[in-house]
Amino acid sequence: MNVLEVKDISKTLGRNKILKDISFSIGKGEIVGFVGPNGAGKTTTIRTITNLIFPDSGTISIFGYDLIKERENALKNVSAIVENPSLYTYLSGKDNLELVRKLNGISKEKMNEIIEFVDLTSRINDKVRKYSLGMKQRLALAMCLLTEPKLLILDEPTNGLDPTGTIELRNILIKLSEEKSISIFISSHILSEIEKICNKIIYIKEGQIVITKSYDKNSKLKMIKLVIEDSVKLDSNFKNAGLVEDYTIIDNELIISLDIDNLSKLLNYFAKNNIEYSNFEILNSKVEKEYAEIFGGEK
Amino acid sequence: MITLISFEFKKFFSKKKNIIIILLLFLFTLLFILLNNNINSDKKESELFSLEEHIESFESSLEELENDYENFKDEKPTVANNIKKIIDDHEMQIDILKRKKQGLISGDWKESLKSDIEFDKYTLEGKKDGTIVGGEDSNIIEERLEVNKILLEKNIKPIDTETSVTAWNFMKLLVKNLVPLIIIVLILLFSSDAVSSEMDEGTFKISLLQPITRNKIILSKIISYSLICILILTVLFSAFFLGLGIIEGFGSSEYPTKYYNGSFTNYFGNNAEDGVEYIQIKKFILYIIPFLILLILAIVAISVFISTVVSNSLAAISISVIGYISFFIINSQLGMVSKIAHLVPTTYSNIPLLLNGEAIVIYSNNNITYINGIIVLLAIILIFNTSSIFMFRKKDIL
Repeated sequence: MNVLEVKDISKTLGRNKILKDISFSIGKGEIVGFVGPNGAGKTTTIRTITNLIFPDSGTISIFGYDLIKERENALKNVSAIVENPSLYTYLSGKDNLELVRKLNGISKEKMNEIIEFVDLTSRINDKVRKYSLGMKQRLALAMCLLTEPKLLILDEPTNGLDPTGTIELRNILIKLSEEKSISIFISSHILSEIEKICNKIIYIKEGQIVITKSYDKNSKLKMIKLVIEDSVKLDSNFKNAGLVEDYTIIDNELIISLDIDNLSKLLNYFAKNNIEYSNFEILNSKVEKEYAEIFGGEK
Repeated sequence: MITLISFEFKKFFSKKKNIIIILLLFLFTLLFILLNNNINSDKKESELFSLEEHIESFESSLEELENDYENFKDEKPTVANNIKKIIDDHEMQIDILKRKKQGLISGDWKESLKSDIEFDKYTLEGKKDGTIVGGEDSNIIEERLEVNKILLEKNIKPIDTETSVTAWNFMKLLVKNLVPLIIIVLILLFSSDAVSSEMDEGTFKISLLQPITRNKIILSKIISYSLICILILTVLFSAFFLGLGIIEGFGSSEYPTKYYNGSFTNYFGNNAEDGVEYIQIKKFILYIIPFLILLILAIVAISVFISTVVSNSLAAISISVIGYISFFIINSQLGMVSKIAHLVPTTYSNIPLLLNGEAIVIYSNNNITYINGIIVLLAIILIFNTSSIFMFRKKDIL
């Protein structure tokens, strides 16, 4: 049984049809990225699957429970941060956590552990309005983790986090997925982060799912791009040499997919065969490449 | 549910806006007390002066009458006899007024009260036999006479019920003068952003993402805000009641207070006992309390509904406050809806006027009764709270 099953949901806000028959699913322990340009419908999708807004049509089931008809059961094992961390800024961090703790019948000891885990112990009694954005993100994450959810839904969770915070969050999410089999649905603009933690990425454009791709986040496969002077020299031996997984050549631009360990061997191969090249570039991310192919220059 | 309600209390008393409104509430009440106290002192001070003027006027008139009598007694004895009768009346009135003056100077309120009773009796008789024309309306004199007789009989020191801030009377004045507009507007300021402020700030996501039904969330809001408003007013009323009791005295809890018993009997069709009677002020206040609670619940129900429909906090507050004030003015000042006034909740905002029957006279509508008020307010509470729950259940939280 899938943890989250979304079938044909549509939503119109005002005159705009924001979501158009969206369907996707998340399995147990999966970390699924949700990627698309601004206005593609990411946040509306997240609001819909957390029952903040109601779909015009379609069904959403979480752990087999219909979200609309069996809201309490469906949300029992779900935690989410939707858009910015929404917190009662005029209350202390502890007060905010207390609400979630009491509503879910969680012990104080567990709450203190989580406070320590997100490194807010020294500031937990301060009013939230005195927190930095990063601290607010950590508090919101603490509120999510407090209930020990089986499905974690995060909308732009790295917003406001510094590089250290981003790395910490990434490690936390990977750990939660691996050790506790928590499924995570995460939307983010930072494609390199998405690539590092996700098994699957759903690309959304203009309210429609364009494609869903699976990834091996531990893969050593990298993309490189270079310009070669004489493409005729790349004969069939190049592919047969076993140095590259795949390659495409457009005009003189060569894009190669290869195991990063084979890079030096490839460069030797070029030297041995007198293949001159320039503008050598390791493409940062496969996801970035695919994103660029799907969305062009959109952000 | 209890967790949600207790959290609402915490949130409410942590918001600066609410603390400022509570302070304003206490400040307005304090100003109201000071104002009334001032008027009351002025009235007391001027009473003796006005009495002396009254006596002087009678004495000067008496002097002229005595001259006239001397002039007419030989030539026109019939005229002279009539003048003599008026002179006797004047002498009697001067005598009563002088006794009242003496009572005021010596602080003997009983003597003063007896003089008032005698004077009113005399005036009423004069109005009946036609010797006194004009002046106060007989009904007003009769009412005052009845009250004064009770005061004398029960040994209760009279007060000016329109301005005296002795504790018991103050309770009535507060409900009569501050509740209909100022206190209700402040309650609206408290509660009309109960839902919309959470939508504005995005904080609804916290509770809505928990495994609890939307009904529980909105119900906890309605219950909390109702309890909070009742609590604040209870503290306000009790604090000022005790404070004034200590400073100004409690006054008599048995002070006769005008009460229209048709408020109850009309509804059951028993008109035999219809009419005005004078009940103890503590009983009068006792009738006010449950009605006031219902009134608060109705106001909260309306404002939470507006707050649920209008997602913007400022807009929700503005609509509630401006809407209520407009309705209040149209209904009470312009009397444009007098025929249906008994169905309009603002009609019942002035509870003392409802209890003493004056609301019936003001709106020229016999259906404005205590029982009808309870029915209208209960209907408002039921309709608006059910609508809020229904609306919230299907509302998109953006």
